Amino acid sequence: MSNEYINFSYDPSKNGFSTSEWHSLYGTVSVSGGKLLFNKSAIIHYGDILRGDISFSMNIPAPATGIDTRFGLTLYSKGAYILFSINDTTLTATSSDGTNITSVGIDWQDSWTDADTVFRIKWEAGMVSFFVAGNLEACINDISVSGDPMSLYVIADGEDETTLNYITIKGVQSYVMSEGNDDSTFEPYVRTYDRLTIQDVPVVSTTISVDKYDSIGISESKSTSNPA
Amino acid sequence: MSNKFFNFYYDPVRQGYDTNTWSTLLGVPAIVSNKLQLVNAGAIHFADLLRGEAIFNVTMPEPANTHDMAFGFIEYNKNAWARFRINDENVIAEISNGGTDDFELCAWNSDWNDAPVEFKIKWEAGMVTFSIGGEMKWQTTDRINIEGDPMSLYVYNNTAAAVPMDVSYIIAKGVQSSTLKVF
Repeated sequence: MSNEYINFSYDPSKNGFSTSEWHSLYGTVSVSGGKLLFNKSAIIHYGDILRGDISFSMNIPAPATGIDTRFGLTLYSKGAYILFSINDTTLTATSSDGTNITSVGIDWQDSWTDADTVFRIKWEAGMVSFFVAGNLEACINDISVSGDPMSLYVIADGEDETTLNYITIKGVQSYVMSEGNDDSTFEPYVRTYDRLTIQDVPVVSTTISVDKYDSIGISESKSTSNPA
Repeated sequence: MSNKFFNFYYDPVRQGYDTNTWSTLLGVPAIVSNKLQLVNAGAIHFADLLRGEAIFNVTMPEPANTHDMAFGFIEYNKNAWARFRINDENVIAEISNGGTDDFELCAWNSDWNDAPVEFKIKWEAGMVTFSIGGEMKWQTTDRINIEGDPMSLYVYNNTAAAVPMDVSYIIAKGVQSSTLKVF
């Protein structure tokens, strides 16, 4: 566990849709009107996240037969996930550690239909809380809550339009932008703010040493003149 | 020791086989049915890791004569490792510091035949723990033989017959230091 947390955001109007950042599992996604538009498509992010507080601002049609929309976090090949899942007419909050699955039903509210709504997942050790539009809707605190790193994931398979407005990611315990993306270089681990701190240090120490030497010089001058 | 740990994973579905990530040691590693398939092939990951826990989800047939597979942590040219190795019909958990080594034979469970199974190596200072399918198989505190230098993830299958070894995913957790790019 880290004592430093990672916070960042994904905003299609700022970031666009980059295949250096996202892997397309199938279908096509596009940026339209500053939002990420899904057309029977699925994407997974290259960042590996361990725990955190993640909010998806989504615009989703009302659950109906034929809808298969899921978003949250997954370690895809292990079958581990923490997701909001809309399957036909049912919205659930669900978690899996790859073996054990827990799902909790959530009643859909009309005010969420075709409106930008924040779906929030707060993933902690042994517990995950699901919020919609600011209200706690479900909490899972059993063996199904994974302790493995996972990645942001969105799948929208319905006939109707689903859009992603933004994702905010806060309080992440560890984050690795995965190898495998187009611009991976395996640079040494030095974060931007660490580098800034290192550059600041010499400036501060130079100022302190100049003051010290000036003070000593004045003291010696007084001592020499007293015996006379 | 670091108070920042690195946690990441390799998923062939997401990343494929990327030579920016892996150096090919042998043959042609390939993605087959969403898994990294090694048939007379091997690869070593570019990230240098110091300690941590690595979980390899591997599918392989029952070990038999001529089988030659390995996966785990390695510093290849130093011959230092903490790894699982399949040598003929033997499943071996083994450690080496590049000079001296130690190992333990693990009994094969027929439930693992051609099934995805998690092989876990937990590499700590002065202790390495090997588990298969959630059961601990060997824990060694043989400090002399436990490597203290950085090593890399690797997977290798040089079995003479075309026997496949499939990797569904690799998870690395609690790594004390890593050269993986962050941000």
